[in-house]
Amino acid sequence: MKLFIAFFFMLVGVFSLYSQTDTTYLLKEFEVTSGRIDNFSAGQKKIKFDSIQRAQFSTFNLGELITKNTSVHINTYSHNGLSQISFRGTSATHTGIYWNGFELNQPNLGQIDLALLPGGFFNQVQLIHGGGSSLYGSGNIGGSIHLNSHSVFTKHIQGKLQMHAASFDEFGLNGGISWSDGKWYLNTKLIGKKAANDFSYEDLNGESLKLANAALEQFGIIQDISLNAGKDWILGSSFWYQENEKQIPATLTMSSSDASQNDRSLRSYISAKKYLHNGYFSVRSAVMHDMSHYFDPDSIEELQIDSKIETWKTVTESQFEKQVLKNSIINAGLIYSHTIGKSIYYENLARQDQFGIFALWYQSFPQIGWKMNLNIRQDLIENYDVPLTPSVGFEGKVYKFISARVNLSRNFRVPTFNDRFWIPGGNINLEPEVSWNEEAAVLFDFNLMKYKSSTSISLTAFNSNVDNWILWVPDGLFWSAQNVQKVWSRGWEADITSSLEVFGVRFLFSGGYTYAKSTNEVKQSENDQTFKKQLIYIPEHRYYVSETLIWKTFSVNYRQNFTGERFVTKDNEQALPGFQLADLSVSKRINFHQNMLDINVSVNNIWDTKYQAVQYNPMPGRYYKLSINLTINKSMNENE
Amino acid sequence: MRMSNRLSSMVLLCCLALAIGFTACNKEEVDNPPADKSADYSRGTFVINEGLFPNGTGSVTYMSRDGSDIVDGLYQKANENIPLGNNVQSINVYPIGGEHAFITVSNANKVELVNSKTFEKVRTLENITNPRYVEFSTTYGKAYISSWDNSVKVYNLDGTESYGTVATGTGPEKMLEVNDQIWVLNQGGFSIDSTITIIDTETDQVVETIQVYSKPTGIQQDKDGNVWIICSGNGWNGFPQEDDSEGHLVCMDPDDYSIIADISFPTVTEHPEKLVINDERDVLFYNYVDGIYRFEIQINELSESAFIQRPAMFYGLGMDITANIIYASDPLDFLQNGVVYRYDAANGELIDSFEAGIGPGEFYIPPILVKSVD
Repeated sequence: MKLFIAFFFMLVGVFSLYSQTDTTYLLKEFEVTSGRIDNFSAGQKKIKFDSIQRAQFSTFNLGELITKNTSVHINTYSHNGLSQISFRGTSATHTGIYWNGFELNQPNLGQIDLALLPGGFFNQVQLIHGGGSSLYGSGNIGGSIHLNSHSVFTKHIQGKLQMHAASFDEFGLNGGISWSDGKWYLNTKLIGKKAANDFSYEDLNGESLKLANAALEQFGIIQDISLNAGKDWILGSSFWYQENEKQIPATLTMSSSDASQNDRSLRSYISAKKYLHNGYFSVRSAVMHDMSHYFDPDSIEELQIDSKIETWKTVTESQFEKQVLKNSIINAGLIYSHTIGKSIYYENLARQDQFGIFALWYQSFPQIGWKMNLNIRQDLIENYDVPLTPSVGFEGKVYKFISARVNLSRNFRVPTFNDRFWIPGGNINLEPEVSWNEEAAVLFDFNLMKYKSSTSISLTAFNSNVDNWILWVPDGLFWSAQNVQKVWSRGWEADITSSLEVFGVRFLFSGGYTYAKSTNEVKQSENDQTFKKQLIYIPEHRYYVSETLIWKTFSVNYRQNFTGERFVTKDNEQALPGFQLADLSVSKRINFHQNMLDINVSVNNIWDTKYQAVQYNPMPGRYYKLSINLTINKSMNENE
Repeated sequence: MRMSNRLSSMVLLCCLALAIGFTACNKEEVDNPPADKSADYSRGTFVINEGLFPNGTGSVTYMSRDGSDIVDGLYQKANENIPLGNNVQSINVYPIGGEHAFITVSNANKVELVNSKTFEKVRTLENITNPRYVEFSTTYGKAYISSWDNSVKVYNLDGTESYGTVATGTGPEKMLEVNDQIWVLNQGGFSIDSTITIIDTETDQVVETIQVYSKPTGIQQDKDGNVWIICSGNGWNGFPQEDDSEGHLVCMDPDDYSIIADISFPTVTEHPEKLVINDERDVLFYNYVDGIYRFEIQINELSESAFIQRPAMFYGLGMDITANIIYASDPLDFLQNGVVYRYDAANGELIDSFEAGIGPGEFYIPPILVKSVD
C-alpha cells in the first residue's frame, strides 16, 4: 500500500507542474463523493432522476423506479421480488451498481437485486448507458447505475416522515433527518417496509388463488457524517445497514414453496477530499459485507436446502483531479480491492485481489462548443489477463439546436466467485469477458419562451460485441461455467422530455424507447439451434411514456410502459407475450410555514393487465397505494 | 423558434402514436390445435421432456413407431393447453395395454394419470414429494411410485386407492419388477446412497436391503433371470474431486441376492449411467463419456470403445425391444428443444433423429404384441 501512495504522490507532483489559473474548472463544492462521471463520460447516454421522480417513487424500489421511468429492461420475478436489470441486451452481471462510487454488486453473483435498493434512499440516481470499464473497471459492459448522496453544508435542519400503505398488506414507514451547522453535516435515513404480497392469481387450471409465501420485510438505515474541516478539506463517513427477509413464492409449475431468503448488508466508507486550486485530491476506503441465506426447509434432511454465502470486500481508492491547461482537466487514480467469499459450496475461502490504475483526460473546445474525453485504465487481477480498457468520447453542438455525441470503449467483466469456485461446476480457468462498445447520438433541443416550453429529443444508436461470455453449460447431470458465447448486441434508443406551461398549468411529458437486438454469435454444437438467435428474456422493444399535469399544488401523473415479446427458450421457439402496464397517480401538496405535506394516491396496473414477466411467475393485477409525506424545514440562518 | 415548437409537438404526437401502435400490435397468442380425441397414442413412443430449466413446464413428445408421426406437447394438446408442470421425470404404463399412463412431475409433487390412448387427464395424485418413477406389480396389479421423501407409494392401477407407503433408502429412483418383488434403486437424491431396497409385492414389506455401489442408476433382468445393476459411482464427469469413486456393473441372483459378477469401471473420474437391454436379453447398453457402450453378458467384460461414438455423453437412453432400436437423447442446454437419435441395436448405425421438447430424458417404448392390444 505504501508503494501505491508513493506512486500516487509522484503523479500528483507531475501534474502540479502543469497547473495554470483558469476558469474552466468549476469547483463542485462540498461533494464528498469523487464522481468521475460528470467530466469523463463524454459521448455516453446518461439519465438522471430528478427530484420530482424521486419524490414520486420514494416508496418504490430501484427496479420499479427504472421500469416506470426509462426504457431500460428489468426482469421482475414477482411483486416486490427479485429484479434484474438488462441494459441494451446484456445481463444484470454486465451492469455495475455503485453507491457513491463503491460497487454494490455481490462478488458471488456479480449482481445485486434491485428490489433490495430503496428508491428514496439516495439524493441522486444516475444511469449511464454503455460501457464504463475505463472509469469503473470490471462489470460495466451494458451500463451502470450510480446512487449518490451529497453533503449540504448550508445551515439547515430538515425532518422527513413518510408513511405508505398499499394493496396486499403493504406498509412502509420512512424517516430522515438532515442537519448542518455549516461545519458539520449529519444525515440519517431510515426505511421500514412490510408486505404480504398475497395478490390473487390464476393457477394453471384456471383456479383463482392467493399467492402464498411471498411476504417481505425490509429494514435499513443510512448515516452520513461530513465535516468541512477547513483549509479546503472535506472529511466524510457513511454507514449503511440493511436487512431483507423475503419469502420466495412457488412458480405456477411447482407445488407450494416454503423457501425464504435473508439478506443482510453492511456497507461503510470514510473519505477525505482536499480541494486544490482548480482541482482536488481524495482518498477513500470502504468495507462491504454481504450475507445471503437461502433456506428451503423439508422434513427430509436430504431435501433441505440451507445455503449461506458471505462476502467481504475492502476497497481503497485515491484520486487526483486538476485542471492542467486552459481547457483541459486531468484525473488519475489508483484503486485496490480485496474480496473474500465464504460458502459451503466453495472448497476454500474464495479470494480476489484487484488493482486498477487509470488516467482520464477532459478537453473542451469552447470555440466550437465541443468536449472530448480520452480515458485509459488497466486492471491487474490475480489469475486473469485483463485487457487495457480505453475509451474515447466526444460531444458538442452541430447546428443551432442540434448536437451530437459519440463514444467508443473497451470493457470487461471478471467471472464471479460462483462461476469460479462453486462445487460442482465452478471453473477456475475462466477468462474475463471482454467487449467493444460503440454509441452515437444526435440530440435536438427546442425552447419556446412564450409557453415556457422546452423539448429535448435524442436518438442513440448503440453496438457492442461481447466475447468470452460466460454460460453455465450442462453435460449430462453436471453443469459447469464456460466462456462459450459471443454476443452481438445492437439497437437504438429514442428519448424525449418536454414541458409546456399554458394558463398556469404545467405539462410535462417524457418518453423513451429501446430497440435491442442481442444475439448469440457462436454455434455451440451440431444440434445447437441458438446461433444468431435473440438471448432469452431480452425484449426487442420496450418503451415508457409519462405525462404529468401540475396546477398549483395539484399534480396528476399517468405513465405507461410496454415490454415486448421475450423469448424464453434459446432457440426462440417459445416466447412470453408483451405486456403494457399503466399507473395513474394524483398528488396534493399542502404548504404551511416552511413545511410541506404531500399526499399521493396511485392506482397501479390500472388496466388490470394479466401478465408474466418471467414465465410461470404470477404478477398482480390492479393495486392501490397511498402515501403521506411530511417535510419539516427549519432554517437556522434566521437566528443569526 | 416557431418551427422548433411545431417540430416538438410533432415529435410528441409521433411518440404517442408509437405508444398506441405498440398496444395495437400486441399479438394474440395462437393456441395449439387440440389433439385428435379418437387418436390412439398407446402403441407409440413417448419421449419425456423435463422442461425448461429451472421452472418451465415439462412435456411429452409422441412418436409413432415408424417415425412417421410426431406430436409435440402431447399432454397440452390433449388437455386444453394446460401445462404439465416442472419437471417431468418419467412415464410408465401398465403392461401390456394398461388403461392409464402415470406421469411423474417432480417439482410439482404430483403424478398425473392420463388415458394411455387419448392422453386425456384422468386424475392427479397430489402431495407426493418429488415423485420420480413408476413401476408395476403385474402379479398383484399395483403401482409403485418412488418418492424423494425416501419411500415408495403403493396405489391401485387407477390411482383411486392408496395401499400405503414403504420406506426405502435415500433418494429412490428407478425400479424393476423382478419376479414377485420390486427392486428400488436408492440413488441418494441430493446426497449419495448405494443401496437397493427389495419390496415383496404381496405384502408390500421390505424383504432385503442390499449394499451395492454409489448411485445405482440402471437395472435390467437378463434372459437367465439374473439382475444387472449399473452404479455410476461418486462424482461428476469432467469435474474430478477427491471423494470420487469408480462405477460398477453388478450382476445378482434374485433368488439369494448373491453377487454373480462385479465389474468395476477403469477410472474414478468417468461415470456410466442408465442401463437398457436388447430384445434377446443378452446384451446391455449404457451411457458413458464418449457414447453408448455395449456389454455382452456371455463375454462379461467391459468394452474399451463406444458402440455408438459421440463427442459428449448422451442424456437419455431407451430401447425398443420389439424392433431392437436404441433411443438416445441430447438435451443440449435444457434451454432449447433437444434431439432424439435412433440407432439399430444390432450394428449401431444411425436410423434417424428428430427434435423433441426441452430436456428429453426418458423414453417409454411399449413392446408391441403381434395381436392387437385392443
